[in-house]
Amino acid sequence: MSRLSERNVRDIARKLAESEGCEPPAGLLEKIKAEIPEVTVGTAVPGSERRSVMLRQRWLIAASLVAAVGAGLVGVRTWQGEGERLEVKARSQAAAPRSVAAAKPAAPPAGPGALERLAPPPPPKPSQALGGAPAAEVAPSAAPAPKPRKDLQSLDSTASRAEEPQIATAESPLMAMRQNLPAPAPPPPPPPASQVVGGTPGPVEGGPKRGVAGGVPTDVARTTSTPAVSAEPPFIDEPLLDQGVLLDERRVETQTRQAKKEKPHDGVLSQLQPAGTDPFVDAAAHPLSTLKLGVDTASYAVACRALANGHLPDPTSVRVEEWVNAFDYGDPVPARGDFAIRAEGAPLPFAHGPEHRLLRLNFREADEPKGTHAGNAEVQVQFNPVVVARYRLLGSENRAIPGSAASHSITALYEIELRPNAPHWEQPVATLHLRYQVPGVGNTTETIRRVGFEDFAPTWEQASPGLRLASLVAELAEILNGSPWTRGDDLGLVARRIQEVARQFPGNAKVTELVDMAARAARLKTGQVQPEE
Amino acid sequence: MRERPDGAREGRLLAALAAGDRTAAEELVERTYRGVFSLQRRLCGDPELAADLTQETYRKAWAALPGFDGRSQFSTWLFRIAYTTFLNHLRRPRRLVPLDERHESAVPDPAPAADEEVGRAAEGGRLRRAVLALPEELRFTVTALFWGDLPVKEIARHEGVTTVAIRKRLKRALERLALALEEEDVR
Repeated sequence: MSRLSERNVRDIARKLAESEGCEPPAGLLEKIKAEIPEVTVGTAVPGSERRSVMLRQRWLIAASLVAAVGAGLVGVRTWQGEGERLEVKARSQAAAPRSVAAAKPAAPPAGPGALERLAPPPPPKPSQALGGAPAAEVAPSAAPAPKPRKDLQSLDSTASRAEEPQIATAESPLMAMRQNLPAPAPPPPPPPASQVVGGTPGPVEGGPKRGVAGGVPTDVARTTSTPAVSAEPPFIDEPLLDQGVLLDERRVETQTRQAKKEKPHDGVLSQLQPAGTDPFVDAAAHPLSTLKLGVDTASYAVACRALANGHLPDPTSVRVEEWVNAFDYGDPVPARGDFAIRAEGAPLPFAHGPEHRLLRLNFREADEPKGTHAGNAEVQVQFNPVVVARYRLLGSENRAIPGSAASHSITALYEIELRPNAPHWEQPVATLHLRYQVPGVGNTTETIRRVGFEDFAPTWEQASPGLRLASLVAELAEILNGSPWTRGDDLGLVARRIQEVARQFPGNAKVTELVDMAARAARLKTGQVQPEE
Repeated sequence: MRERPDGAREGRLLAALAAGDRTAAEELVERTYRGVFSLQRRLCGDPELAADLTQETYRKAWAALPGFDGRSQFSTWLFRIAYTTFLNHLRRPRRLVPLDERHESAVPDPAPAADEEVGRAAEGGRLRRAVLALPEELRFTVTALFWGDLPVKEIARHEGVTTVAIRKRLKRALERLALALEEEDVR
């Protein structure tokens, strides 16, 4: 690590230890005390009672083990020394209900020599031993005959069927190993309810109709072996993402997909939606969104002129992406490398739904890039379908995001809808892949940035001024171009919020101009100002 | 959490609580709520939200108290609940409420005197985000040590590793934070 980094490490430790502003507000203590529930007082808490419960559980487990081992010993003894009596008993079982036969934990071998290859039968389960079954019933059923006997094989057809897979399993080392795996993937058609794999007894009649594989109920095994693919996003190694490393000559497969376009809120509006309004895209079907970085911000200038002349701009001329990129949001310039990437999110300023969020991405080029220009770069946003249900890019139907040529800064806005029951918050929301070529060198450089929930502010009001301003600019533009996504949103409220956020940009002439534009647009929209001739 | 926990006193309070002594619960709150608030304040960066999350932490703690087995200190157990409460908060859907006049009047006037304060807040925000972006085991270590004021030994016990392992984690975490902030801190 460089000296600078070492110093920074010490600085960071010092800053982390600072506790300025961490004094609780007045009245908090009283509020917490007032919420102490009566039921808590007197509850058997830590230590004593809890420990005694644990102690009882341990005794129960120990007793079960003793009973199980004892039953096993009885079984072995019976197997070794009471074969003749067993035969009689077994004959008598031929007429017994199937439930007793089906409860056998191990079946007798099927042919000569099989006994030598088979392990001794497992002892009965503790639960069986403790379940009230007399030991005399457990022992015979657990004890196979010392050598193959045709009469025993014919005792119960169900037991006979169960033997076949067991023997096949024991003869195959691979299959025998599989017995010990916790959750092997079963073949697509589930085995018959009575099928046994791996020497584990089949279901007792009247019990659940499920096959057993390796000691794990088939339905459970199927669940655990369901390709985690569906639950895990196809993302790149976390360490790589965490470090945000630059990868030279990295070849990444570019997936070009035709985005599945969903209809807006209703069918009529979808037919009327003007050019430039992007639809929502299903993140599971199409997790990749590709942006081509370009440079053009004419739309905003055109609208400024129209509003200055007392006219609302032509809706078809209002391009959201060009409006958004007409402003500098104070994004950082790269410390090293050619680009700095910023990603931040927050709930939307207008209620589109409780799970809707705005994601703002900024790609800022170095002031003196090594011959690289934004027009050369491409961004692929890979949404995590486990977290994101759908998304839409605000504006930029042609996927070309303009940027300010002067600042080399490019901003893209996505509205995303999170899945209501998304898994743990640590899942990434998206991964950004910025790729560009250095002219003359030929190598493609890729920068990867993970976007997580830590990049999202809890509320819109707590988001950065840059995000708030960008979201309002986009909202204003979408209202003016007649986007169905802003149906019913109040232009006057947007104008007031722009005025409010503008206070965070003192001395910024462009933002001051925006305040005036928004106010004019709101008045024109409500007919309070007559167009100038 | 902030005050070094007195294990013996904690034990007596918990025993008294089990016997139905409400004042024991109140004293436990008095001894720990500053630490819980401080943790939430540093995690979320917003004092009002931190106060809400502190209250929520205690609500969850009372509900979970019968499950507290005494294997860790009460303060460590409470820290874990507070930490999880914050993480859950990040994922919670929120109802959006339009701004009203009250919000407008609450917007601070960006007077020059406030610039320094804003700068400090922005710096704190970057550090906070960088901490939250750490992998879980590093994030937990940094948060527990610096913001939860838990001793290294107690963190090690909670994590089931040695104190040396915790110190190594800490070193890795600080290096990552330095790197992340160097990348960003260029304005």
